[in-house]
Amino acid sequence: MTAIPLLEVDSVSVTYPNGHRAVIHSSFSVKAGQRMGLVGESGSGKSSLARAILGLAPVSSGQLRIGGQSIQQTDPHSRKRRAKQVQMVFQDPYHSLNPRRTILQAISEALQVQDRHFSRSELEKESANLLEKVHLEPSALYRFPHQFSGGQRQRISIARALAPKPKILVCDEAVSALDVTTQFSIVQLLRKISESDNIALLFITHDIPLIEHICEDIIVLEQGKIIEAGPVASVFKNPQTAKTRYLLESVLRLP
Amino acid sequence: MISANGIAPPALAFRDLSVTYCGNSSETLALDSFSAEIFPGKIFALVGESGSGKSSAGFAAGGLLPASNTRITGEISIENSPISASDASALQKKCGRQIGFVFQEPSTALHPAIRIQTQVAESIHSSLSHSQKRDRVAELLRSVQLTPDARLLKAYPHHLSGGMQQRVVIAMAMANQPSVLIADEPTTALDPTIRKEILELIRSLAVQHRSGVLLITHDFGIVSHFADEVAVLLRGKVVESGSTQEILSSPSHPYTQTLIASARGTANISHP
Ligand SMILES: Nc1ncnc2c1ncn2[C@@H]1O[C@H](COP(=O)(O)OP(=O)(O)OP(=O)(O)O)[C@@H](O)[C@H]1O
Ligand SMILES: Nc1ncnc2c1ncn2[C@@H]1O[C@H](COP(=O)(O)OP(=O)(O)OP(=O)(O)O)[C@@H](O)[C@H]1O
Ligand SMILES: [Mg+2]
Ligand SMILES: [Mg+2]
Repeated sequence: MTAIPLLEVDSVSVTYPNGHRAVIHSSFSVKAGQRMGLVGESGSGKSSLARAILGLAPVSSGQLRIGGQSIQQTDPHSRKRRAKQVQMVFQDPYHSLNPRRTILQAISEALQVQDRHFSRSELEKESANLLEKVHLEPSALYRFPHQFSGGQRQRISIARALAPKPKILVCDEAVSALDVTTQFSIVQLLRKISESDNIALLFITHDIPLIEHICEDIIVLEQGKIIEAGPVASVFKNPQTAKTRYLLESVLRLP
Repeated sequence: MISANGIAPPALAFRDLSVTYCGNSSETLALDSFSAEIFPGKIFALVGESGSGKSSAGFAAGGLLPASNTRITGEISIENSPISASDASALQKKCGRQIGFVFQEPSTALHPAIRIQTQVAESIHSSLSHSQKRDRVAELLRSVQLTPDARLLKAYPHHLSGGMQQRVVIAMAMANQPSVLIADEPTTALDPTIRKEILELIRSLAVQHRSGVLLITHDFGIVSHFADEVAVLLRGKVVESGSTQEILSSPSHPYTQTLIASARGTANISHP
């Protein structure tokens, strides 16, 4: 048993420059390899919390630590070190991919976060391997982001986020636009990688059934506050708050 | 507009639409002779795998496919006036007036440097007084479960969450009660509660204003609750289509069967 959790979110608040507080004194921790679901209504602060972990949202109070070390420094060296540890698949794949870079350039850049040298052909090979994992052909390497479908862009973002072999992968609605078969195989992939490489997942989704497939634990956010947390099975079976019950009940199932 | 046999013509029809994206070394046939008719008052769902050509069909109807390196053949008919699918400018003109669009990635539909209030107001075509317009903007935002307070009205798109952006785009698409609504994965970023409410809203547009809705979705749960008809695309080809009832009770194509089973939560899905 390790004493220190991999990620510690310690009474964190996120306050935007316009004064809006999107996350309010939230605390939780994630162990190495642990898969945690994060759910809540639209606007409840999920993406803000995720971006704070990446150093991309203004943390107004509290502490964020990875492996016991504070991650609030924003100098380039600290950023690079953080990139090796935490990667994120953003909710809006269109905006998170640079339109002027080919997929090969985008993934290569992410690969080079690792402390090793890659030759050009190694970059191509590694990038093609990553694409294959998300069911895309190697020919995709030489195309630009706008030349793909929405779901393909989501998959490219996943491949890129896996490239630096992070310890924590934050997935913000990362598979929401995918059809069930593709979605399921990507979710299996994430689960497998999480198990084999001991990667922790913070998995944000509105898709409640998906949480059951991938996560062990779940956090429910409402208006910036954590209102419920615990193992998926017990929260689903016995939700403690009306809001959680409501989120669970409104799933559209087939008659 | 009722024809001789008493059936209103489709609000939107695709006839033999083919779309090919030509790259430097490869060509992608995104749609292969795609035909569909979307009738007034009805919701027509287009489902299929990622990359099967769903968004390409939506873009084609609006004349919004990339102009260069795209080969387009076939015809698109909006309210009974047929237009060549390759005539982007004619389609855009028609689309601006009669089609409401909800794009798959909402941020692409919002201007990053214009406040929400102004963007939504600009989407309203009818000439209203300043205060009427302000009321209408508030009404539209409330219809998508957003609170039209100062924070929202004065916000720029990047100040909003993904689901909030998506709902602003939906409000704008509905602003003029379009006779055709093309909604591409309109509820992917929304929690189940709001998702249901938005879909109800789309249904009431169809029913009350006799709009034809093309609903692109990957979720058969949504199809079963909200669509009248459904077509299943696989690699650019329609492999199955019919009334939702029919397809749900006796899906003939294995891919459709997988989709349905997975939405029932009964399938152990693996990649085909
Ligand atoms: N850059 C920003 N400036 C000001 N307010 C912001 C900013 N980003 C987000 N917000 C606000 O913070 C709140 C939480 O947004 P966030 O994106 O974290 O929600 P979310 O839970 O991810 O929602 P969704 O499910 O819709 O994506 C929202 O009210 C939003 O308007
Ligand atoms: N501008 C483009 N240039 C080249 N290929 C393209 C372009 N746009 C789309 N494609 C390709 O055309 C095919 C169909 O794309 P489309 O966006 O219509 O799929 P989709 O069914 O909407 O998928 P998704 O569910 O992932 O959004 C895909 O293989 C995609 O890579
Ligand atoms: Mg979000
Ligand atoms: Mg699409």
